[in-house]
Amino acid sequence: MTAGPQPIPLTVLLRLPEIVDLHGMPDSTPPADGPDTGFQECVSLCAQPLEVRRALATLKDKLRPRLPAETLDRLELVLAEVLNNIVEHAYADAPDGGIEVRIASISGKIFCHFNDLGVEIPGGSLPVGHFPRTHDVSLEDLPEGGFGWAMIHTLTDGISYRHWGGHNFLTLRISA
Amino acid sequence: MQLSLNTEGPVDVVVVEEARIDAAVAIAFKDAIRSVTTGNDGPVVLDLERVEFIDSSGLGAVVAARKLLAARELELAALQRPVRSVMELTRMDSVFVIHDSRAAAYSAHGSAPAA
Repeated sequence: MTAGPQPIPLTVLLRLPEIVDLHGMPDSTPPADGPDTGFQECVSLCAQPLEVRRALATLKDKLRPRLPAETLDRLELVLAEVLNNIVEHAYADAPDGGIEVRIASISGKIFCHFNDLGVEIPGGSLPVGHFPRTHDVSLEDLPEGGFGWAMIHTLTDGISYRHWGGHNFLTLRISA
Repeated sequence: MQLSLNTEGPVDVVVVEEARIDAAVAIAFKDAIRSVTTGNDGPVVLDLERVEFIDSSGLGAVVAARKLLAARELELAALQRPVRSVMELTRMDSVFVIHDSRAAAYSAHGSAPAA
């Protein structure tokens, strides 16, 4: 297995001010101390589409006992869209790049953390995305792509991204 | 990407024999559609009963398939809940004719056209 990025403990990740301003996200502050009453699952993968499938299947298996089916489907879709973006763009020139995904439930909220060593998002900030026009569009003009970021934004309550120390750090929050 | 073709009913049905239309198989899906040929001119129904998951890459491939089939309208049938959700999320459900099942697609195409 190709060596991936060094895993960063979740509690450290949430507190590093240089990484993400998770505290800017509503209701994101984790409990300072005490037992973690939620769950945390982690998977590492290489930047290949079949690896993305494997990672999604692994995470779904681990989370199936803990989440309602509809939440799990929504989560799988968001994870797939983000991972596809990392594979196609962050690691466009590096097909063996390592990606780490952590899913954590904290205080009833679900956080997804992505960590990769690929190139920074152009411009340093997340694309807004938009759903392409589907009304009164001719067949030739029907869009075949460009849905990904719009889907991610629609399915998440909050997103935070930072490129730091050679890593891309992306965090999503979705509702259960 | 496994597709099978059924030409027994009033309209040709292409059955997707895979659980996922995603980034891993989007190109293969388009290639497989390209090689689907029948002697007929009428609409083609894409039977998605086995498909449990579709992402934006897969959706793009389905749109591309529709363009490939061009004059032969591509309709969809038997969408599982997660696939229907993606269609609704992206508003693609307003772009495709969607049948509840293959049988419903046959019913829609098997009756005599209005005068």
